[in-house]
Amino acid sequence: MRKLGALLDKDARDLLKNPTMVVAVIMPVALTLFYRFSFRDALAAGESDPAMRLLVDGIFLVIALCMSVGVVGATVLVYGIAEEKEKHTLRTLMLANVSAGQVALAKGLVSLAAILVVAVACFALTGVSWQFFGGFIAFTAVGSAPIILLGLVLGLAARDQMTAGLYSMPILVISLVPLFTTFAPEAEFVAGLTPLGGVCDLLLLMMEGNLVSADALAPVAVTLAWTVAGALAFKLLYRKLAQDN
Amino acid sequence: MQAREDSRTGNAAARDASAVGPASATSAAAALPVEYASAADLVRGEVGAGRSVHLECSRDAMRAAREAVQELAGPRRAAFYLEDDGGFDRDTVRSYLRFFARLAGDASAASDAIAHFGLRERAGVLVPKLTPEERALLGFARVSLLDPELCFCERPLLELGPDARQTVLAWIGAQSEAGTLFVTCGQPLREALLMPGRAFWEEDGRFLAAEVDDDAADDEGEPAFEGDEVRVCKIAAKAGDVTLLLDPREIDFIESANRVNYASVRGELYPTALTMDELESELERFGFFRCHRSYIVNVQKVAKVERYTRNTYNLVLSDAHHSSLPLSKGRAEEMRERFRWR
Repeated sequence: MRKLGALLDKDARDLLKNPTMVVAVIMPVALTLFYRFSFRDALAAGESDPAMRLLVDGIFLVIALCMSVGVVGATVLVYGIAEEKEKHTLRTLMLANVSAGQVALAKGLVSLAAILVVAVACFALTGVSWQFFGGFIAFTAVGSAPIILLGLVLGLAARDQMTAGLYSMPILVISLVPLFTTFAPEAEFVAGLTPLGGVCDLLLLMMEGNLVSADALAPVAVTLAWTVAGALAFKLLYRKLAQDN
Repeated sequence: MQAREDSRTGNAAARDASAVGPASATSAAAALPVEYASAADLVRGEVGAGRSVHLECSRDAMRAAREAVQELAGPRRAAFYLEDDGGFDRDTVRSYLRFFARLAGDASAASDAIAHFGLRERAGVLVPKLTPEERALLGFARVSLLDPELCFCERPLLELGPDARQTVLAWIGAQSEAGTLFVTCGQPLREALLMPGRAFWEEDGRFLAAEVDDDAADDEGEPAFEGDEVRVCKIAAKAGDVTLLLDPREIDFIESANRVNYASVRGELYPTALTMDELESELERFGFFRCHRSYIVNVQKVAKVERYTRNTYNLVLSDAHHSSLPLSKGRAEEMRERFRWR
């Protein structure tokens, strides 16, 4: 616990001092504001049309969730670990009797905390009723799990920050797919199969009051499958990748 | 500590199948292996027997030695000083060391380490802004926080000036006396010989023990220096295709490394065909002294004598690189008497 505490403290401080991380944290918040501005007509229509309001709120929350998890998760983890590999600080840590598991746990927890803080800020900016806040944060946390696990694996696989840029793209892209169903409803099926597709569907079901229904089974299964896949990939690869450092 | 090491030595040598041949010198040294087939065997054999060991070796051997130390460490507290350790870019000296002190379980130890390694003035400076020497000291400060039982260092003296070298050698000496086992890798052999423990050098992938014969008695039969006789003396040395005739007064020291003897002049090493014994007998009357089996020093260039452990003496020269040379324990007293040092 002592070592984990020291690692958490270091990673949290470093996140605040690292310009790349700070941009990654600001970007979802800024984009949420941008979307709110872009959807101002729909928002105005929603004032008198509850169905329209629910639709727009759903779009906002999906955007907030995907941006928070995708951008922060991909950047903080993949770049953070890759930088440590490039500067050999990960090796220094592991040679200082810190295990790869402790390093991964600390980075994962700090990323989760960053994602949740950004998600709270994004939620506040959407203007959606606070009655949905608890569910939104819960689904954001659940959706973060597979992204964080995949981010840890890809971060350890990246040789340096240059390759981290390449490796973080798949995470970013698959995280943002549900967001594009707003503009391309025909992509809904594909979006539903992505790591965040399940939690986004569950979020919308919650807003419609249909969370406890048969419709929730498929999204739950997708989310579980991605979480298990991420955990397996991490379990199988992290030790080897960390040793290659 | 010494008694414990000595008792381990014979058993370790006997069970070490990879060590080749016993030393033929004194009975105490006879039990120590003088050759190993690989760096990993060397580390396993020497560290396994409770002896610190220092290698003059290639990068591949350095990596093999590091991996062997990692394997050997087991539950022991191990610390590693690697030459390309970067440090966290956004950390200051203080925050970097505080972090490692917390990892080691004593956050307050960071300030002691900062003071010990002379980094107090630089405590608030970001790690990337440190000079290579300060970064090396930071690395040793980090290693010291882990209070290691086994410590591996890559090129420990590479970036260090005379003062920093003294600080680090003193720390290594003190830790060694306290029981820490050191494995260091680097070049030249001279640096390996400055460390407490045994020194080895690499030849064609094999590792040979550096000769550290302390028996100064072999000098007793030689004619004494007559004092005021005038003889012309030039030391022939090679620089490419050119044969240089070096004035003894220009020579800082003579070094024997990898079976070649070199004359060090203004920081450059020039190979010479003369043997160490021939060089010793030629140079003695110019104020040179055989301070070690592999070194003859121009005593006029010696700025100070340092002692880090009971058995470790170093001569620090006032030459271009402020070189440090080993002074064998057995020769230290002879040197003191000959040059009437009190």
